Parts: sequence; C-alpha cells; structure tokens
Amino acid sequence: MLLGIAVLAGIYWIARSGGHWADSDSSFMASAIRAVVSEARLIPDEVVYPSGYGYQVISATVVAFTGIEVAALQQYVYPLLAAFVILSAWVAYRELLSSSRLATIAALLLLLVPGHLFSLLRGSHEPLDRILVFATLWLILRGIRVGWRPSNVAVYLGLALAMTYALVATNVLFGISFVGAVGAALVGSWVLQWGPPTVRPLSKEVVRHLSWFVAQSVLLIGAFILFIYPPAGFSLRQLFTVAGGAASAVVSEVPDASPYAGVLASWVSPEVYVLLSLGEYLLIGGSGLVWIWQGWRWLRGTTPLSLGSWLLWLMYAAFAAQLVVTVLSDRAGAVASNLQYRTFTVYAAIAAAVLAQGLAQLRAVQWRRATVRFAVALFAVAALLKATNEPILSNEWTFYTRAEFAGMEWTDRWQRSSISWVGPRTRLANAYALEAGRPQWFNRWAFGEPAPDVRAYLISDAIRLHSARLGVPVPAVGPHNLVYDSGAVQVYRTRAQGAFER
Amino acid sequence: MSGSRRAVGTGRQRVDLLDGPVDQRSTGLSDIALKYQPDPLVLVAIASIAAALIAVGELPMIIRVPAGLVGAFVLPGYALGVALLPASSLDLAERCLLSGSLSIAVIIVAAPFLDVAGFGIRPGPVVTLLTGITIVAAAVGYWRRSGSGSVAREADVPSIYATASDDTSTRPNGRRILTWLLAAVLTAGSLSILLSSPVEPSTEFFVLGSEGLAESYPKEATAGEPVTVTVGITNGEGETLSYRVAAYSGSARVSSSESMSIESGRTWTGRLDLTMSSPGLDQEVRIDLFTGGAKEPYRTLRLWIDVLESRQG
Repeated sequence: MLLGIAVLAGIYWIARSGGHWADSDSSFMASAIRAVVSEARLIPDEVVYPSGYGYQVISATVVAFTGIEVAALQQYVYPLLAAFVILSAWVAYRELLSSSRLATIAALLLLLVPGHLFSLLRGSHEPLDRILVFATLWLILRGIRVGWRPSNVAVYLGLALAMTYALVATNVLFGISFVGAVGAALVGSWVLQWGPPTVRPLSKEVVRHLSWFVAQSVLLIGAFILFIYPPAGFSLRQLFTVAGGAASAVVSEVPDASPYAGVLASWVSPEVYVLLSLGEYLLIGGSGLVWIWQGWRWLRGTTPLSLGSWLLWLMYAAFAAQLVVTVLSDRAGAVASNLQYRTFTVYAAIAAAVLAQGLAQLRAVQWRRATVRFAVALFAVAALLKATNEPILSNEWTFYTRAEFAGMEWTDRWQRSSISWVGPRTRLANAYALEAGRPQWFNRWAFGEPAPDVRAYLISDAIRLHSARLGVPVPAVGPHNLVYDSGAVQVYRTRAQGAFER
Repeated sequence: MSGSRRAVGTGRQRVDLLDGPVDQRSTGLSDIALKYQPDPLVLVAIASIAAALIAVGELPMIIRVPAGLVGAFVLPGYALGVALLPASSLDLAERCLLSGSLSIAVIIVAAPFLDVAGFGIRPGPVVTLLTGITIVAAAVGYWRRSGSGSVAREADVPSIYATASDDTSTRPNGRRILTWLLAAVLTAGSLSILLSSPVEPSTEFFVLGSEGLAESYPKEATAGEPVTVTVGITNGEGETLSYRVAAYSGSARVSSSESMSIESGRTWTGRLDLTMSSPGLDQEVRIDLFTGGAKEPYRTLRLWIDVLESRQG
C-alpha cells in the first residue's frame, strides 16, 4: 500500500503539469548533469555542483544505459524514485523499531509531510541522499545485530561505509550532517555510559560499535574534500558560515533576514499555508513530545526497547539540534536563508520513526479507525497540494506550457546578446534551464521588474494569470513590435533606439 | 537440491527466494522437477549483458529505459549483494534496498577511478564497467554459494539488539507480488499515456529583420518604396495546412503572399516586401496570417515604422 501511495504521488506530480514542471534546484542539477555528460568529467568546466558529484554521475549512468534525455530523466523518471525511498525507509525503520507495523506508520508519515514529500519528488540529489541514509542506518544496525561473526560485521560495516561515501559524494553537507548526527549519538552514548542504569548497556554497545564507523567516515569526508572533489571545499566554507550565522544570531543583535516573509507570500493566504503545513507541525510537535516522553520513562527506570530505538532517540536529538542551528543561521541570512528546509527533510526522516512509536501507543478502537483513515487522507491530500505547489493555492508556480517553451526556444534562437523578460518570477527561466540549458548567443532571461536593458518580452496566458495573482502589472508592450505569435504566446521586441541599436 | 527457489524453514533460517539452495537434504519429486532451473545469478549475468547490448543498440525507448534502469540500478547491486552476503537471511524488501543502494554506491565509488584513468564518464566505459562488475560479482556469488554448500546463518541475536515484536517478513507471497505488479503496471501505463499524449496543435508565426534575426526590424521606410522583412510559419497543427500572409497599414494592404501549403512539423520562411503609400510617424503595420480560405486572421504580428515622404514628393 505504501509503495502504491508513493507511486501515485509521483504520478500525480508528473501528471498535474503534464510533465512540464521545473524548480530552481532541479534546473541547476539538470545543467550540472549535462555538463558531466558532455565533458565526461567529474569536475567539468561549464557547470560544477560544489557539494558533490554523485547525482550527476548517477544521472549520466542512466543516460548512458537508456539514452533518455536529461530533461525527461528529471521530469518523468526521478519523481517515481520516491517509491524506492519509501521502501528504503520502511526497511530501515523496521530495523530501528523492530516492528513492521511501526515501520509502516513511520514510512506513511513521511508521505504526509509536505516538505519531505517535495524533496522526494523533485529532480534533485535529495532522494538519493535519503536512500543512502536509510541504507546506511539499516546496514549499521544489521551489522551490529549479526556482530558475533567478525566476517559478517566487516561486510556490513564496510558496506555502510561505502554508502556513507556515496552520500558524502552526492552532497557533502548532507554527508557531514549525517555523520555528525551519528557522531553526536556516539558522544551522547559515551557520556551516558555513566548515566541512568536503564541506558548504560545500550550506550556501551553504541560506543563499542559506532566508534570505528564514525572515525572512518570522518576520514572519508576529509579525503573527499581534500583529494577527490576539491570543489566541495566551497560547501565546507558554507558550513562555517552557517555556524557563524547561528552563533551571531544567539549572542548578538543581527538583522533578521525574515526567511518566513517570502514563504507566506508564496501562498494565496497565510491560512492556506498553515492548513497545508499541518503535517509538518504534527511531525515536529508530536515527535518532540514522544522524544521527551521516552526520555522521561527511561530516566524513571524503563529500559529502551532495543538498541535501534536508543540510537533513534539519540539521533533525533542530533538532527533536531542541527535544525535549530539552521533556523538561527537563516535568521541571520546565511546561505540564502533557506538551509532550514534542507535540514528539516533529514530531521523529518528520523522524526517520523520517533512519532510512529508514540502513535502506536494510541489504541484505535473501532469507531476511531474511520476517523484515523479520514485524517490520513486529509493529510495526504494537503501534503500533495503543498508539495506540488498547486497553482490554485500557491503563488510559486512550477508548471509551464509547451507553447511557452517553444516561444523561449524561438526567442533564444533568433536573437543575439539580448535580454528577454519571461515573467514575474523565475518560472520560465527554470523551465528553459531544465529542458534546454543556458540560453545561447549571449542571450539572457530576465524576470520580475523589467530593467531598461530588456529587449524582448515574452507574454503568455499563464504569465498574465500569474501576474494577476501576484498583483503585479504585465509590462506594457503596446509600443513594441510584435514579432512572434503562436496563439498562446507572443514575443515583443522593443523598437531600436538610435543609430547603433538593432 | 541445488538451485531450488523455494523458501524452506522459518524465521532467520529461511533464505530469500532468489538466494537459491536452502535445504540440502530434500530429494522430493518437486525438487527434481526444479533441479534444472537456471540459477538466479546466471540469469543476472545474462540480463546484465542484455542490458549492456540494449544500451548500445538503437532500440526504442520503451525497451531501452526499463532495461537500462534494471542494468544500472538493480543488477550490479544485486550481484554484489549476493557475492558479499551469499546466504544471509535477507528478505525481499531488504534485498531490494541492498540492490538499489549498492548499485548507486558502486557507480559513485567507481566514477573517480574512471575519471583518473582517463576513460571519463562516457557511456562506453560506464556500461562496460558496471556490466563487468555485475558478471564478476555474480560469478563470485555463485562460487561462494556452491563452495560453501550450506547456508550461512546469522548468529542468534540477543534481545538487546532486536526485539521483533511482530511479523517482519516481506517474503514474496501472491498478494505482495500482485501489489508490486499492479504498481508497476500503473506506473508504466500512466507514463505511457503522459508521454504519448498529443501535443496541443499550434502554428508559430514570426517576422525577422533585415539580418535574418529577431532584431534590426525596419524603423523607417520611404513612402512608395518597399522595405523587406522575412516572415516564417511553423506548422504544428498535426496536418498539412494552407496559409496566406497579408500586411496592412491602417486599412490599406501593403503586401500579400500567395497561398502556400505547409506540411505538419515543417517551417517555411519567405521575404515580404512592405510598401507603405502614405507618410507618417509610428505607423502600425499589421501582418496577418490566414489559414485556408478564412477571412479572419489566425495569427497577427505588428511592426511600428516611421514612413517618410518620398524623395520625389
């Protein structure tokens, strides 16, 4: 059933826009993939993704095996990868929680959290990151569980290290975040070896088994940044910016970058945003309560159910701390003020398992089951609407039409060194980057308030509707030459001024 | 019963259906009937070669895409997983996770070696490497399995590590297989419908300036003297259509073309001489495109031109 829901979510994501969707990250990753494919190098000249090469190489491999175009890969194939992420999550949760039922609840929760669902469906490295995180967790726990035989534990932990390297190579920040969380769990366990008697044995086991893994992972991260993929040094510097931003937000008065102002403006009303985000609030609040409840019980003498649940509890604290740090750094305006959305998705992956343990305690009597199913359906619909930026409710449209892309192709083909305005937001610039790459002939796309050096305006029905929704006027094109018309799209070229303008 | 694909035993003693022998003592008739079935690892090696051949062949996407995805994301990880963990008690879901994630990891780990060795991230080396890894891993897995002759079991696990409180098995049964098949069919069907959905019919009509680009449009003209532009028509209507172009300044026709027939998917371009008769600044020149015998224009373009007095005038 879980896989079916995940597949349906992927199909809906594709079908809602007829496959014509694009967002800024997916577009940039498409450019990075094309650069690796065309230059056949890990670090191409044209576009380098500084955080890692994994996603580009995986995509280049798919292109090599299937001959599929990069845009089709991003728009049609990767959204369906969400189903495999959910399968991975379920297997890891089952190992962590020692229960299929709890694993099913936790994996279902992942589909009800819009921020996490969005990260799974779009064409970016995040689904790969998640698969590798879940696979690593599963391998670590399985390795510990079968740890009586040295050969077995070597294979499992060796595989876990290979997965960790793949994670680091796909996105070094996510890799550091994950290894940091496991490391924090290790440090926490080391301290709690002298803590309450209920957690001492488990803490000792964690220290015994995870020390080697964490040490090797740190070495891998160092080797990756220093020798294998030097551009990752840029991401490392960003990490220091985050830490500095968070510290300054705590110890001094910093100008508030207001990271939420833009978020609220992205929806037709704040109420809609809050309603669609209920899954996220439930996850954050619910998992936090369960975490406190579990800690309290263990302090009062109850022993944790298993090593997995103990490790989960420790890692939850680590990822929650990372989330808090990024919230603070976003307030200070570090790294585009949107890092908390990245850390939230990883936090959500752990929080879902924590919350599932709490939800499983609620005994569902017969009359409540229908209510639960109805609530799940509502959360699922809300998550899907928010994750897909449903244009009826969202102001950040991610769809585009075939006619709009054809108009942009024409504009790019027949102009030279021209700036063309393509809408009030980045929607069409993203679409072109995803489907075709950068504009040719030194042309550029412009959006938002038109600058004086804009030479062409692309106007479509969707642009008119989008401008009306945003409350911004469509540029006045009456004085310009109308040089392209496909019915749904028109291109206006400004009249040449002076002797040298063309 | 080497080669049997039935699961025998319970709990951790059971072995994945795809992992092969599970009970050396059984000699029933059904076992004899299954005796000559090919080993799954042999099938994996054959499938990997097939995926590689499909990758380099000019086959339709409907064959290349699924075969390529399996060749890249399932087979290498599956073969390596069996080679490294030949008969551990992994169930179907775990084997799926290991196959997919290990395939991903193998590609990512191997990429720097391809890069440094000078092969580059090119289709040929990538396909060859992954196919090679799959075949070698399948051979190792086969050798380890037949060499050990018995199923390696995971040790008994103390309760501190795992307390499976309910059924944790995902061994394939009829219902699960049916669910997975339905999911696959649903996905493939939906994608096929999406990818094969007809493109909205449209005709693109455009005008280019004196240099054959969307710039250098005529700013000025002299009354009675023609200025030349290039007009283009791209027929995306899905059928052959006849088109006609006419240009007007006010109500006066300043140019027109013969009716022409353009096949679907083709672009036609041609020169159009615009001859304005009366002088005046900022004259709007409308260029209309008509289809068939229609009186109303199908598409309309517009140029602003300052028309100067003729030198004779």
